[in-house]
Amino acid sequence: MEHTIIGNPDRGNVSFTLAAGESVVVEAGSMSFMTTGMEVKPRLIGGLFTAVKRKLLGGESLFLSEYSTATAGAIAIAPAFPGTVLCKELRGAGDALIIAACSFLACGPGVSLTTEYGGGRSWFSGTGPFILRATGTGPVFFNTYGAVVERDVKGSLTVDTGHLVAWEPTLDYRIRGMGSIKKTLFSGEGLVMAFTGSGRIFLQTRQLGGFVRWLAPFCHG
Amino acid sequence: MNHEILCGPSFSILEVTLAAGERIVSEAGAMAWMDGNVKSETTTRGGVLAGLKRAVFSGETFFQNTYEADGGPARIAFAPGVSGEIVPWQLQGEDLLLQRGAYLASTEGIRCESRSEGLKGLFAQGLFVLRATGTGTMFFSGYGAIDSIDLDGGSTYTIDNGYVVAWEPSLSYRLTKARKIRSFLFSDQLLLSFSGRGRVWINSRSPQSLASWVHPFRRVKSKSSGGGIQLGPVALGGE
Amino acid sequence: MHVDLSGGGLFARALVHLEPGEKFVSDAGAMIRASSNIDIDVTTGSRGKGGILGGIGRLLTGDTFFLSTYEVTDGRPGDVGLAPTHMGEVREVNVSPDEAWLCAGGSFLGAASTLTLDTRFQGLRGLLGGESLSLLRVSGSGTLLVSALGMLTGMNVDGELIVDTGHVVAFTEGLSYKIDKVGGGWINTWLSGEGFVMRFSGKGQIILQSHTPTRFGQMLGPLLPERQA
Repeated sequence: MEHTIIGNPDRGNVSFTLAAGESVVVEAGSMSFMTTGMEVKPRLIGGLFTAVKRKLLGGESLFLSEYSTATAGAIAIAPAFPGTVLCKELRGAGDALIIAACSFLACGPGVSLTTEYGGGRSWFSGTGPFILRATGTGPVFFNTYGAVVERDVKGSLTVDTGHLVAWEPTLDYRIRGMGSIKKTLFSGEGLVMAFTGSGRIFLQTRQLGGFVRWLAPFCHG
Repeated sequence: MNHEILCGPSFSILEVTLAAGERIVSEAGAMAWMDGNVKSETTTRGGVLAGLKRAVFSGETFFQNTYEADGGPARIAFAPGVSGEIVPWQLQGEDLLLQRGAYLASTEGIRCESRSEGLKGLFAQGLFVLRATGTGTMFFSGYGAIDSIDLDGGSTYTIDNGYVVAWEPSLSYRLTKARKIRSFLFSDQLLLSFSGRGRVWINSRSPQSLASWVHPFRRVKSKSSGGGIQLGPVALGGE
Repeated sequence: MHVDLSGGGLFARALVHLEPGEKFVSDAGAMIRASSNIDIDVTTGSRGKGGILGGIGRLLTGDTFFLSTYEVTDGRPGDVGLAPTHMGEVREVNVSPDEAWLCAGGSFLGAASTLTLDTRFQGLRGLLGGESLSLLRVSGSGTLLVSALGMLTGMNVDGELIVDTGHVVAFTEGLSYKIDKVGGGWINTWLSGEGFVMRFSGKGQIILQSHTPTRFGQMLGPLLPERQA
């Protein structure tokens, strides 16, 4: 399977070229266009995730679709919102990446995904407290709302949960509000994650919550 | 204090580096990430808890947070809610008028007050204008790329009201309507005609257009809905 | 008449320069500004009426729309600045009399009045809600402006291509298409998250957008305040 990412940093999207018998797993609803002859099957992510929980929290679907083809084919996919598409190659044997559920875009068939609870009431840009742990071998694709800022954390970094995209599991984190509950409400910050240790973290420069707060006063009726 | 605007122009973010004891003020909720020891304080304006839900959604409140680097330097990133550019502007005694949604951050010497300036109902119901006074740096943002137009007193500049981000108070403006209008939809097509000497900042996408577009996607009010409003990371009301 | 496009990246806008006697039409909400000698005539129309068109504009499901027609009043050239609703690119399509174009309603930004616009509403209301496809047939000779959420990509089709309906911006009339479900069966289609797809075949040109406003709206809508019915 080959992939090409175009449109970064503002409007990233990715296309895959599949040889006969190959497949790719993508976020449900992300297909833009494809050649004829592709088959699609739904897949659910293993772990904590259930349809009921997803309905309560709203936000993006965590259903996946697996596209495969008997002959050669191509499929292009896009995230739900404009931003940057990133790819990390996982090389098995303990290599892993933790991704906020709404940032997951696609992966090769050799990658396993499990959902985990992000802890507390963390809210990743609108999907609720679920995070995905990607392990195995192959590429995993994730996207940002807005532009991406990659930082190598050495020591500590405090991040508003809405701006979190992905991080290496070598980092530890603690979830906290910005003081008392009242202070959290008024300060406008959601919850923050205080990261410690060392590892790479991917941050996004926009988040759905902030966009909603900005747009809401213009919405009438 | 140093500042840097990264990732422009579509998804710009502001990063400030504070020396120990230095402070920066920002719109509540704009903090994206921070490095170092930071103390923060919130000043709330306009609205007691009871009216908070409605007020926050209508844009009538204006909360600012003050961040201080505590015991060492700190680096803090601030992100606007909307996609677009960030403009840094130096104030030295000259005021600046801006749409309330455009305010991102400012240095300590700047005070922001809400003003109606005879503009009630101008931008949208409930949305008000801020007047920034004092000395320091103001950071504001808007939906889309932001252009600045310098008027030299010679001609007027007419623009749809959805596209005005900020302007200098030395300019005067008049409200006009598109001619031969037969009917309207959600927002009146109001045009602002600026004249005089000064700068006006305009953006390249309209929040009103976006609000009209998103209208059918919003949930319909039902009698059973308890009024719990999700406000991004923080749920207000409900319980 | 000529059009200047500015703003690369996501915030493209169009500046339409008009000579006396020329007219341009756009969605009424698209105007940023106009030179003082431009007359702006805002009209409403509804689907099915003769004349300009029905079913386009910012409303996905409504039946009325608002169009502005711009022309110069004083014998001098004038200009109108237009911006789409979404973050994305704008492209100029030169429509020629030998082939009409079909343009998705939400992607229409403006058109020279030398073009004839008529609606071809598909009436699709997909299972996933909010999914609807209204196509505008643009014929004659002149400039058509289309806009996107994200990036615009033009492709030549020769054979077959399957496109998620939300990504279709415009295509030449010579292409045949069939509206279909993506997976076998309704359950599979619903679970796949895809709404409907258009299966194109034949020879022609197609313009696609990289992101889908409907998907973005479905994510944003439930987070905003509720509305009256």
